[in-house]
Amino acid sequence: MRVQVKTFGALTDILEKEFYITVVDTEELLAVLSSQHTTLNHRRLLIAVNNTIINKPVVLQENDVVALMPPYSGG
Amino acid sequence: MRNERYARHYVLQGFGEAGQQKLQAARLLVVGAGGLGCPVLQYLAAAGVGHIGIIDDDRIDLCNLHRQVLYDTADIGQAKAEVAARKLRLQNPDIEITYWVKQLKSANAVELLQSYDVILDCTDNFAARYLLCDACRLLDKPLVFGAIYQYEGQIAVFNVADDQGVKTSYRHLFPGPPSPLEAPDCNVAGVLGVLPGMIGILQATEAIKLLTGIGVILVNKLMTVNMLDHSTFTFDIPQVAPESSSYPQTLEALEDFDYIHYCASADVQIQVITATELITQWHATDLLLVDVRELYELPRLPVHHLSIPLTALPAQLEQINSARVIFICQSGKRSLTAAQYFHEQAGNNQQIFHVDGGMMALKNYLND
Repeated sequence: MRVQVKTFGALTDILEKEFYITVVDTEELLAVLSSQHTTLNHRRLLIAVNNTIINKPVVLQENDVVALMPPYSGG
Repeated sequence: MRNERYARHYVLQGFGEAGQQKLQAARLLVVGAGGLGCPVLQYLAAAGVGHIGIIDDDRIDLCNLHRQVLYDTADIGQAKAEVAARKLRLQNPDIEITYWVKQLKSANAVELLQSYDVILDCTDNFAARYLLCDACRLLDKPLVFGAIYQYEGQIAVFNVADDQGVKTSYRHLFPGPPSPLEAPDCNVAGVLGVLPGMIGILQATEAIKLLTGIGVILVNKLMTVNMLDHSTFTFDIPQVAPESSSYPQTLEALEDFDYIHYCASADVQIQVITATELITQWHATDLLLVDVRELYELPRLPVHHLSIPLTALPAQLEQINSARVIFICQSGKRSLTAAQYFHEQAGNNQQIFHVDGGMMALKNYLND
Protein backbone atom coordinates (compact mmCIF):
# COMPACT_ATOMS: atom_id res chain seq x y z
CA MET A 1 0.00 0.00 0.00
CA ARG A 2 1.22 3.47 -0.80
CA VAL A 3 1.38 5.46 2.42
CA GLN A 4 2.59 8.89 3.43
CA VAL A 5 5.35 9.08 6.05
CA LYS A 6 5.97 12.17 8.19
CA THR A 7 9.10 12.44 10.30
CA PHE A 8 9.81 14.57 13.37
CA GLY A 9 12.73 15.90 15.40
CA ALA A 10 16.20 14.53 14.69
CA LEU A 11 14.75 11.98 12.26
CA THR A 12 14.50 14.75 9.67
CA ASP A 13 18.33 14.70 9.60
CA ILE A 14 18.15 11.14 8.28
CA LEU A 15 14.86 10.95 6.39
CA GLU A 16 12.86 13.42 4.35
CA LYS A 17 10.28 15.33 6.41
CA GLU A 18 7.51 13.86 4.24
CA PHE A 19 7.65 11.10 1.66
CA TYR A 20 5.58 8.32 0.13
CA ILE A 21 6.48 4.65 0.25
CA THR A 22 4.80 1.39 -0.72
CA VAL A 23 4.81 -1.22 2.07
CA VAL A 24 2.44 -3.82 3.53
CA ASP A 25 2.68 -2.92 7.21
CA THR A 26 4.59 -0.81 9.74
CA GLU A 27 7.08 -3.64 10.31
CA GLU A 28 8.05 -3.66 6.64
CA LEU A 29 8.20 0.14 6.66
CA LEU A 30 10.77 0.12 9.48
CA ALA A 31 12.72 -2.74 7.87
CA VAL A 32 12.95 -0.92 4.54
CA LEU A 33 13.97 2.37 6.14
CA SER A 34 16.51 0.67 8.45
CA SER A 35 18.08 -1.13 5.49
CA GLN A 36 18.52 2.21 3.73
CA HIS A 37 19.69 4.08 6.84
CA THR A 38 21.64 1.96 9.32
CA THR A 39 21.35 4.64 12.01
CA LEU A 40 17.66 3.82 12.31
CA ASN A 41 18.47 0.35 13.66
CA HIS A 42 17.20 -0.13 17.22
CA ARG A 43 16.35 3.54 17.45
CA ARG A 44 13.63 4.54 19.93
CA LEU A 45 10.73 5.72 17.82
CA LEU A 46 7.12 6.47 18.36
CA ILE A 47 4.98 5.29 15.45
CA ALA A 48 1.51 6.65 14.79
CA VAL A 49 -0.85 5.59 12.03
CA ASN A 50 -3.49 8.18 11.11
CA ASN A 51 -2.75 10.09 14.34
CA THR A 52 -3.08 7.08 16.65
CA ILE A 53 0.09 5.85 18.33
CA ILE A 54 0.61 2.10 17.85
CA ASN A 55 2.57 -0.32 20.02
CA LYS A 56 2.43 -3.36 17.78
CA PRO A 57 2.79 -3.79 13.99
CA VAL A 58 -0.19 -2.56 11.99
CA VAL A 59 -1.24 -3.48 8.44
CA LEU A 60 -1.38 -0.31 6.38
CA GLN A 61 -4.13 0.82 4.03
CA GLU A 62 -3.78 2.94 0.90
CA ASN A 63 -3.16 6.64 1.79
CA ASP A 64 -2.55 5.97 5.48
CA VAL A 65 -0.35 8.59 7.15
CA VAL A 66 2.46 7.18 9.30
CA ALA A 67 4.27 9.48 11.74
CA LEU A 68 7.72 8.56 13.03
CA MET A 69 8.85 10.53 16.08
CA PRO A 70 11.84 10.26 18.42
CA PRO A 71 11.68 11.29 22.08
CA TYR A 72 12.79 14.87 22.83
CA SER A 73 14.80 15.49 25.98
CA GLY A 74 15.23 19.27 25.93
CA GLY A 75 13.65 21.58 28.46
CA MET B 1 -12.46 38.47 49.07
CA ARG B 2 -11.92 39.79 45.58
CA ASN B 3 -8.39 40.69 44.55
CA GLU B 4 -8.16 43.35 41.84
CA ARG B 5 -5.11 41.53 40.45
CA TYR B 6 -7.39 38.81 39.09
CA ALA B 7 -10.21 41.12 37.90
CA ARG B 8 -9.95 39.89 34.30
CA HIS B 9 -10.27 36.29 35.47
CA TYR B 10 -13.35 37.12 37.56
CA VAL B 11 -15.14 38.62 34.56
CA LEU B 12 -13.99 35.86 32.20
CA GLN B 13 -16.99 33.76 31.24
CA GLY B 14 -16.50 30.14 32.28
CA PHE B 15 -13.72 31.04 34.74
CA GLY B 16 -14.93 33.63 37.25
CA GLU B 17 -14.35 33.76 41.00
CA ALA B 18 -14.86 30.01 41.26
CA GLY B 19 -11.98 29.35 38.86
CA GLN B 20 -9.74 31.81 40.67
CA GLN B 21 -10.51 30.21 44.04
CA LYS B 22 -9.49 26.81 42.65
CA LEU B 23 -6.14 28.25 41.51
CA GLN B 24 -5.66 29.92 44.89
CA ALA B 25 -6.26 26.59 46.66
CA ALA B 26 -3.90 24.63 44.41
CA ARG B 27 -0.40 23.31 45.12
CA LEU B 28 1.69 22.95 42.00
CA LEU B 29 5.28 21.73 41.59
CA VAL B 30 7.55 22.76 38.70
CA VAL B 31 10.50 20.43 38.21
CA GLY B 32 13.17 22.29 36.26
CA ALA B 33 13.43 26.11 36.14
CA GLY B 34 15.05 26.37 32.71
CA GLY B 35 13.60 27.03 29.26
CA LEU B 36 10.22 25.42 29.95
CA GLY B 37 10.19 26.21 33.66
CA CYS B 38 10.58 30.00 33.23
CA PRO B 39 7.37 30.68 31.26
CA VAL B 40 5.49 28.04 33.26
CA LEU B 41 6.47 29.71 36.53
CA GLN B 42 5.84 33.26 35.35
CA TYR B 43 2.35 32.56 34.05
CA LEU B 44 1.27 30.31 36.90
CA ALA B 45 2.51 32.83 39.47
CA ALA B 46 0.75 35.64 37.60
CA ALA B 47 -2.42 33.55 37.42
CA GLY B 48 -2.48 33.25 41.20
CA VAL B 49 -1.77 29.56 41.83
CA GLY B 50 -1.76 29.58 45.62
CA HIS B 51 1.35 27.53 46.25
CA ILE B 52 4.16 26.91 43.76
CA GLY B 53 7.14 24.66 44.40
CA ILE B 54 10.32 24.90 42.32
CA ILE B 55 13.05 22.25 42.09
CA ASP B 56 16.28 22.87 40.19
CA ASP B 57 19.92 22.32 41.14
CA ASP B 58 21.36 24.23 38.17
CA ARG B 59 22.92 27.70 38.11
CA ILE B 60 22.24 30.47 35.61
CA ASP B 61 24.63 30.57 32.68
CA LEU B 62 25.01 33.29 30.02
CA CYS B 63 23.94 30.86 27.30
CA ASN B 64 20.62 30.24 29.15
CA LEU B 65 19.48 33.84 28.78
CA HIS B 66 18.28 33.73 25.16
CA ARG B 67 15.36 31.58 26.28
CA GLN B 68 15.18 31.56 30.10
CA VAL B 69 13.50 34.94 30.29
CA LEU B 70 13.00 35.02 34.05
CA TYR B 71 16.74 35.67 34.56
CA ASP B 72 18.93 38.75 34.08
CA THR B 73 22.56 39.04 33.11
CA ALA B 74 23.32 40.02 36.71
CA ASP B 75 21.92 36.66 37.90
CA ILE B 76 24.61 34.59 36.17
CA GLY B 77 26.16 32.06 38.52
CA GLN B 78 23.24 32.07 40.97
CA ALA B 79 20.93 29.12 41.62
CA LYS B 80 17.95 29.11 39.23
CA ALA B 81 15.43 27.93 41.82
CA GLU B 82 16.44 30.64 44.28
CA VAL B 83 16.45 33.49 41.71
CA ALA B 84 13.16 32.27 40.25
CA ALA B 85 11.54 32.25 43.70
CA ARG B 86 12.80 35.78 44.43
CA LYS B 87 11.49 37.19 41.15
CA LEU B 88 8.14 35.42 41.37
CA ARG B 89 7.59 36.79 44.89
CA LEU B 90 8.06 40.30 43.45
CA GLN B 91 5.77 39.44 40.55
CA ASN B 92 3.00 38.20 42.83
CA PRO B 93 3.43 38.65 46.60
CA ASP B 94 -0.01 37.12 47.22
CA ILE B 95 1.13 33.55 46.57
CA GLU B 96 3.38 31.18 48.47
CA ILE B 97 6.58 29.89 46.86
CA THR B 98 8.86 27.12 48.07
CA TYR B 99 12.09 26.21 46.33
CA TRP B 100 14.77 23.54 46.52
CA VAL B 101 18.25 23.97 45.05
CA LYS B 102 18.58 20.25 44.60
CA GLN B 103 18.26 17.55 42.01
CA LEU B 104 15.16 15.39 41.94
CA LYS B 105 16.37 11.88 42.73
CA SER B 106 14.82 8.48 43.36
CA ALA B 107 15.57 8.90 47.05
CA ASN B 108 13.85 12.30 47.46
CA ALA B 109 11.15 12.15 44.75
CA VAL B 110 8.30 10.81 46.87
CA GLU B 111 8.97 13.27 49.68
CA LEU B 112 9.16 16.26 47.30
CA LEU B 113 6.19 15.34 45.11
CA GLN B 114 3.82 14.03 47.75
CA SER B 115 2.14 17.26 48.88
CA TYR B 116 1.45 18.69 45.42
CA ASP B 117 -1.75 18.46 43.35
CA VAL B 118 -0.15 18.77 39.91
CA ILE B 119 3.47 18.29 38.77
CA LEU B 120 5.00 19.94 35.70
CA ASP B 121 7.84 18.16 33.91
CA CYS B 122 10.12 20.97 32.72
CA THR B 123 13.29 18.87 32.96
CA ASP B 124 15.97 18.53 30.31
CA ASN B 125 17.14 14.92 30.53
CA PHE B 126 15.70 11.42 30.27
CA ALA B 127 16.79 10.25 33.72
CA ALA B 128 14.65 12.99 35.30
CA ARG B 129 11.78 12.41 32.87
CA TYR B 130 11.55 8.66 33.55
CA LEU B 131 11.89 9.25 37.28
CA LEU B 132 9.04 11.79 37.20
CA CYS B 133 6.98 9.50 34.98
CA ASP B 134 7.28 6.54 37.36
CA ALA B 135 6.97 8.58 40.56
CA CYS B 136 3.84 10.42 39.40
CA ARG B 137 2.27 7.19 38.17
CA LEU B 138 2.93 5.44 41.48
CA LEU B 139 1.76 8.48 43.50
CA ASP B 140 -1.20 8.96 41.12
CA LYS B 141 -0.33 12.61 40.50
CA PRO B 142 -1.26 14.45 37.29
CA LEU B 143 1.91 15.20 35.31
CA VAL B 144 1.97 17.94 32.68
CA PHE B 145 4.76 16.96 30.33
CA GLY B 146 6.69 19.21 27.95
CA ALA B 147 9.83 18.52 25.91
CA ILE B 148 11.64 20.35 23.14
CA TYR B 149 14.08 19.72 20.31
CA GLN B 150 15.50 22.55 18.15
CA TYR B 151 12.25 23.94 16.63
CA GLU B 152 9.74 21.31 17.83
CA GLY B 153 7.93 20.54 21.05
CA GLN B 154 5.84 17.78 22.63
CA ILE B 155 3.12 18.31 25.25
CA ALA B 156 0.94 15.79 27.11
CA VAL B 157 -0.97 15.34 30.37
CA PHE B 158 -0.30 12.02 32.08
CA ASN B 159 -2.00 10.12 34.93
CA VAL B 160 -5.34 11.83 34.41
CA ALA B 161 -8.30 9.57 33.64
CA ASP B 162 -10.37 10.07 30.49
CA ASP B 163 -14.14 9.41 30.29
CA GLN B 164 -13.49 5.66 30.35
CA GLY B 165 -11.21 5.92 33.38
CA VAL B 166 -8.09 5.21 31.31
CA LYS B 167 -4.78 6.83 32.36
CA THR B 168 -1.56 6.80 30.39
CA SER B 169 2.04 7.82 31.05
CA TYR B 170 5.23 8.70 29.15
CA ARG B 171 6.03 4.99 29.02
CA HIS B 172 3.02 4.50 26.75
CA LEU B 173 4.87 6.70 24.25
CA PHE B 174 8.42 5.55 24.85
CA PRO B 175 8.63 2.43 27.07
CA GLY B 176 12.33 3.02 27.73
CA PRO B 177 14.99 5.67 27.14
CA PRO B 178 16.96 6.13 23.92
CA SER B 179 20.72 6.32 23.73
CA PRO B 180 21.83 9.90 24.46
CA LEU B 181 23.16 10.43 20.95
CA GLU B 182 19.77 9.62 19.47
CA ALA B 183 18.19 12.47 21.36
CA PRO B 184 20.72 15.26 21.85
CA ASP B 185 19.77 17.97 24.36
CA CYS B 186 19.66 21.75 23.81
CA ASN B 187 23.36 22.13 24.72
CA VAL B 188 24.30 19.93 21.81
CA ALA B 189 21.51 20.40 19.29
CA GLY B 190 20.68 24.06 19.88
CA VAL B 191 17.19 25.45 20.41
CA LEU B 192 15.24 28.40 19.04
CA GLY B 193 14.86 30.75 22.01
CA VAL B 194 11.10 31.23 21.70
CA LEU B 195 10.33 27.49 21.46
CA PRO B 196 10.34 26.71 25.22
CA GLY B 197 8.21 29.83 25.71
CA MET B 198 5.57 28.41 23.40
CA ILE B 199 5.66 24.90 24.84
CA GLY B 200 5.89 26.12 28.45
CA ILE B 201 2.81 28.32 27.99
CA LEU B 202 0.92 25.32 26.59
CA GLN B 203 1.96 23.36 29.70
CA ALA B 204 0.87 26.21 31.98
CA THR B 205 -2.45 26.36 30.11
CA GLU B 206 -3.08 22.62 30.60
CA ALA B 207 -2.21 22.99 34.31
CA ILE B 208 -4.69 25.87 34.73
CA LYS B 209 -7.42 23.92 32.90
CA LEU B 210 -6.70 20.86 35.02
CA LEU B 211 -6.90 22.85 38.27
CA THR B 212 -10.04 24.79 37.34
CA GLY B 213 -11.88 22.11 35.38
CA ILE B 214 -12.34 24.20 32.23
CA GLY B 215 -11.97 23.11 28.62
CA VAL B 216 -10.66 19.87 27.20
CA ILE B 217 -7.40 18.60 28.63
CA LEU B 218 -4.71 16.80 26.60
CA VAL B 219 -5.51 13.54 28.37
CA ASN B 220 -4.22 10.42 26.59
CA LYS B 221 -3.05 12.61 23.75
CA LEU B 222 0.34 13.82 22.63
CA MET B 223 0.45 17.21 20.95
CA THR B 224 3.38 18.29 18.82
CA VAL B 225 4.22 21.78 17.62
CA ASN B 226 6.69 22.74 14.89
CA MET B 227 7.76 26.40 14.97
CA LEU B 228 9.18 26.37 11.44
CA ASP B 229 6.01 25.47 9.56
CA HIS B 230 3.42 26.07 12.32
CA SER B 231 2.20 22.50 12.00
CA THR B 232 0.61 20.88 15.02
CA PHE B 233 -0.44 17.28 15.43
CA THR B 234 -2.44 15.61 18.17
CA PHE B 235 -1.89 11.87 18.50
CA ASP B 236 -4.06 9.46 20.47
CA ILE B 237 -2.06 7.49 23.03
CA PRO B 238 -2.96 3.77 23.15
CA GLN B 239 -4.55 2.44 26.33
CA VAL B 240 -2.52 -0.73 26.40
CA ALA B 241 -0.05 -0.67 29.27
CA PRO B 242 3.56 -1.08 28.17
CA GLU B 243 5.66 -4.03 29.28
CA SER B 244 6.47 -3.50 32.93
CA SER B 245 9.31 -5.74 34.03
CA SER B 246 12.18 -3.30 33.72
CA TYR B 247 11.10 -0.38 35.86
CA PRO B 248 9.78 0.22 39.38
CA GLN B 249 6.25 -0.97 40.21
CA THR B 250 6.20 0.22 43.81
CA LEU B 251 7.35 3.36 45.63
CA GLU B 252 9.85 1.24 47.58
CA ALA B 253 11.39 -0.06 44.35
CA LEU B 254 11.45 3.47 42.95
CA GLU B 255 13.54 4.75 45.86
CA ASP B 256 16.30 2.27 45.04
CA PHE B 257 16.15 2.64 41.26
CA ASP B 258 19.16 4.28 39.57
CA TYR B 259 17.63 6.31 36.72
CA ILE B 260 20.94 7.81 35.62
CA HIS B 261 22.40 4.36 35.07
CA TYR B 262 19.11 3.16 33.56
CA CYS B 263 19.22 5.90 30.92
CA ALA B 264 22.95 5.66 30.24
CA SER B 265 22.92 1.88 29.90
CA ALA B 266 20.30 2.04 27.16
CA ASP B 267 23.38 2.19 25.00
CA VAL B 268 25.88 -0.54 25.66
CA GLN B 269 26.68 -1.65 22.16
CA ILE B 270 28.39 0.31 19.42
CA GLN B 271 26.17 3.06 18.11
CA VAL B 272 26.17 4.18 14.52
CA ILE B 273 25.81 7.88 13.72
CA THR B 274 25.56 9.71 10.41
CA ALA B 275 27.85 12.44 9.16
CA THR B 276 25.08 15.02 9.66
CA GLU B 277 24.48 13.88 13.23
CA LEU B 278 28.22 14.13 13.86
CA ILE B 279 28.33 17.73 12.63
CA THR B 280 25.53 18.80 14.96
CA GLN B 281 27.50 17.74 18.01
CA TRP B 282 31.20 17.54 17.33
CA HIS B 283 31.91 20.62 19.42
CA ALA B 284 30.37 19.01 22.53
CA THR B 285 32.87 19.06 25.37
CA ASP B 286 32.16 15.56 26.64
CA LEU B 287 32.86 14.07 23.24
CA LEU B 288 36.14 12.88 21.76
CA LEU B 289 36.46 12.30 18.05
CA VAL B 290 39.10 9.73 17.14
CA ASP B 291 40.34 9.49 13.54
CA VAL B 292 41.69 5.96 12.98
CA ARG B 293 42.97 6.62 9.46
CA GLU B 294 46.66 6.81 8.63
CA LEU B 295 48.12 10.28 9.13
CA TYR B 296 48.52 10.91 5.39
CA GLU B 297 44.87 10.24 4.47
CA LEU B 298 42.89 13.29 3.31
CA PRO B 299 40.81 15.31 3.91
CA ARG B 300 41.73 15.88 7.55
CA LEU B 301 39.02 16.66 10.09
CA PRO B 302 38.35 20.39 10.53
CA VAL B 303 37.62 20.11 14.26
CA HIS B 304 39.51 19.05 17.36
CA HIS B 305 40.17 15.30 17.36
CA LEU B 306 42.72 12.63 18.18
CA SER B 307 44.54 10.97 15.34
CA ILE B 308 45.30 7.34 16.19
CA PRO B 309 45.73 5.01 13.20
CA LEU B 310 43.92 1.70 13.78
CA THR B 311 47.19 -0.21 14.03
CA ALA B 312 48.38 2.12 16.81
CA LEU B 313 45.12 1.96 18.81
CA PRO B 314 46.09 -0.85 21.24
CA ALA B 315 49.06 1.17 22.48
CA GLN B 316 47.16 4.44 22.90
CA LEU B 317 43.89 3.39 24.58
CA GLU B 318 44.48 5.45 27.71
CA GLN B 319 44.35 8.67 25.67
CA ILE B 320 40.67 8.02 24.97
CA ASN B 321 39.10 9.09 28.23
CA SER B 322 35.99 11.17 27.43
CA ALA B 323 32.40 10.20 28.29
CA ARG B 324 31.56 9.79 24.60
CA VAL B 325 33.93 8.53 21.95
CA ILE B 326 33.28 8.69 18.23
CA PHE B 327 35.52 6.75 15.86
CA ILE B 328 35.81 7.82 12.25
CA CYS B 329 37.79 6.55 9.25
CA GLN B 330 37.59 6.96 5.47
CA SER B 331 34.62 4.70 4.69
CA GLY B 332 33.27 3.45 8.04
CA LYS B 333 34.94 0.01 8.09
CA ARG B 334 38.02 0.66 10.22
CA SER B 335 36.03 2.91 12.56
CA LEU B 336 33.66 0.03 13.33
CA THR B 337 36.60 -2.29 13.98
CA ALA B 338 38.17 0.35 16.20
CA ALA B 339 34.90 0.91 18.10
CA GLN B 340 34.45 -2.84 18.70
CA TYR B 341 38.04 -3.24 19.84
CA PHE B 342 37.75 -0.24 22.14
CA HIS B 343 34.49 -1.57 23.59
CA GLU B 344 36.11 -4.93 24.35
CA GLN B 345 39.02 -3.23 26.08
CA ALA B 346 37.26 -0.35 27.84
CA GLY B 347 33.87 -1.93 28.62
CA ASN B 348 30.65 0.02 29.08
CA ASN B 349 31.97 3.00 30.99
CA GLN B 350 32.01 5.19 27.91
CA GLN B 351 29.56 5.56 25.07
CA ILE B 352 31.10 4.40 21.85
CA PHE B 353 30.05 5.43 18.35
CA HIS B 354 31.31 5.19 14.84
CA VAL B 355 30.47 7.33 11.84
CA ASP B 356 28.56 5.56 9.08
CA GLY B 357 30.29 6.15 5.76
CA GLY B 358 33.22 7.93 7.44
CA MET B 359 34.98 10.87 5.79
CA MET B 360 33.47 9.91 2.41
CA ALA B 361 30.03 10.73 3.84
CA LEU B 362 31.27 13.71 5.83
CA LYS B 363 33.21 15.50 3.09
CA ASN B 364 30.02 16.50 1.25
CA TYR B 365 29.25 18.72 4.23
CA LEU B 366 32.65 20.29 4.60
CA ASN B 367 33.64 23.58 2.99
CA ASP B 368 36.55 23.23 0.61
